[in-house]
Amino acid sequence: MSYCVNCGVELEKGEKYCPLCHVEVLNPKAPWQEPVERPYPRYLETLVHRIDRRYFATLAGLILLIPILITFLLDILDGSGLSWSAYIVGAMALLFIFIVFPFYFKRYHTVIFLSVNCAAILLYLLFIERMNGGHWFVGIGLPVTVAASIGIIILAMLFTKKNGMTMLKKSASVLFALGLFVLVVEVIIRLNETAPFDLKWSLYALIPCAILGVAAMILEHRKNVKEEIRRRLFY
Amino acid sequence: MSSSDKTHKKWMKLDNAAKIYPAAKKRNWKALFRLSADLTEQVDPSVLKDALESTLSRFPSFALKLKRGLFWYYLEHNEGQPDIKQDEAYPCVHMDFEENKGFMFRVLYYKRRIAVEIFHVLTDGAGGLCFLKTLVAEYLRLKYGAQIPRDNEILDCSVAPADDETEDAYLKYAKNIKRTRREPNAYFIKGTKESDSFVNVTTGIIPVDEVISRAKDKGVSLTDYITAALIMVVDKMQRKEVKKEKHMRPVKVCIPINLRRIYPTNTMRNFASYVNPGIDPKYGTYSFDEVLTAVHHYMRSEVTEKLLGAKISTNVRSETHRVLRVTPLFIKNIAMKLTFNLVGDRKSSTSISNLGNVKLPPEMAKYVTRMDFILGPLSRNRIVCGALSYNGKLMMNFVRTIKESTLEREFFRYLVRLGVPVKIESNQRW
Repeated sequence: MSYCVNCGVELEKGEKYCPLCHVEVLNPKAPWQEPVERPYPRYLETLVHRIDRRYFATLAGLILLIPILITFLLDILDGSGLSWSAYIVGAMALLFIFIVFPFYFKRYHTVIFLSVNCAAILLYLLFIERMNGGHWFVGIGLPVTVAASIGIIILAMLFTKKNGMTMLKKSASVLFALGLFVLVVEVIIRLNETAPFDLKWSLYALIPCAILGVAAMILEHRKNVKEEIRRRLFY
Repeated sequence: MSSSDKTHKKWMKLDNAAKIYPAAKKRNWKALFRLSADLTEQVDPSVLKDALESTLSRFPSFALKLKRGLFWYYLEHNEGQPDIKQDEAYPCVHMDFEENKGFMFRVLYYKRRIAVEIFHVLTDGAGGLCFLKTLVAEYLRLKYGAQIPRDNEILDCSVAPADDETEDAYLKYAKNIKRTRREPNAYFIKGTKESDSFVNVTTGIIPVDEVISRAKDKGVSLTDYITAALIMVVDKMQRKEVKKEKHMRPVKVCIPINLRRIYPTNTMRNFASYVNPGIDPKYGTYSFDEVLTAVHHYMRSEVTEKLLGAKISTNVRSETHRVLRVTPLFIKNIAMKLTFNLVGDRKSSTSISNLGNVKLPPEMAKYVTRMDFILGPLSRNRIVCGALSYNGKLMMNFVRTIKESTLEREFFRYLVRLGVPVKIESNQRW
């Protein structure tokens, strides 16, 4: 007959730990032995592991099929064959990959999912180019999308909970990334032009972004100023 | 059963309380409860099978399967009987009706124990207890030739079932009145869900005289006393979690009430209501005596023929509403599911269902060493308690789907501090 030293309750013979506080039962006079008869068997037959996420994902996929089918039908019925509805099918596929696809996985794998998204966008852009007969994909579409994706992936990796960045630091990095991205976009556009290379409008975006970002970083390290601002702006 | 009966299978409507359960059930959750009896010797499954056969013939309201009509679910006679199964590591494992041959209850055995687990559509705790008692009596008759006197709780399986045993007593006693069902939501006990949907059972075995004498000293009943102790503990848990008193929610405990004690009926189907006694911690810290007074007087005023009658009448009225009746089942289901999720067990922090003192005739009692009542996990509330007294022992079975055992720990420690000796048993894994 053992009692829990913490709870003061008597414990059934077979209990190795107090079921209430999980403190081990130590009785020098009656050391614990595997009980012959447990209150419940160990055996568990019907353990159904049904994953709700997958169910949801499939359901959402089926719902996305509705607009696809409707536009597809309308497009076919007007007699000119498959034309505009192809864009909608593509857009729905993108939506599926952005939102629904991650539900098939247990964890949100940031880098993998964002890369997949990037690849999907590239495919869609390539498709649009082929449908309209332009020559912008390799020169502009591809590099801009890749640049944006790389930026977003880096930010997403920085903003994990483990890193624990403050709001100011986060805003600073977003501002820097935005400024850089605008610069990259202009470089890409200029490289595709025959005119001589010079940067114009992107600097007007880069400069304020950089200044604001630096200001945020400085502010981050000035506790007094932060406190002062908080005091004036309290609501 | 004759061949003409087979072509026109007997069927019945769901009783008023049962109507919510098929709509509220989820893919991996159903409202189940369990009753069990421990015998002096190992259970013989082949005898148990025969005992179930004769018991089931006496309980037509158990030999049923759930069917979908256009406007309502209905219950249809189900031939045969479910398989007797080995008990598992935790009670009230999710029940798949198809696997169970369409039956909505199962019979389990483990060493010296016979257990029945029942879907709430069939009956309530009191009806389930009749079924278990009759099943065990039949088992003892077949196994040991025990001569057990039969009454209206241990039914005689050699006579045909009476019509009034399958009546919907709610309809019989409902009046044309209405009472509001509105009440504030209660504090919700949070916790970490068990990843593998394991259900923890912690049983407190308490000498019933010790509690009754303490309750008598305070001039209250046993249920009042343990409910008040439970409220004290949940209140303490909320005070730890919520810092500001004004953000605290009422602490309420749901107590099912057996209506057979108020309205005469022989029904073996659902006939219960509930009350939610509690306190509002916003108004300050309550002492144990204050909680006792609050619970005691709340129970005395609520558990009356008038107020419970109004409660069941309100439910019956919504069932008989003309527009609702002609709404197709799938729309009704959505509405009922929504209502259940919005109201359901939000009105109470936990629940304690006490079947009271179970008495067996001496011819039977000498074979039965112990009895238990276990509520299956609820859809929202993580911890519930089923209780009954048998053989001088109050058996309190806490069932929990979260890892934290705070409620039981504090509750049993509280009883120990009040001077009540408690013995603990569990299905914990190590």
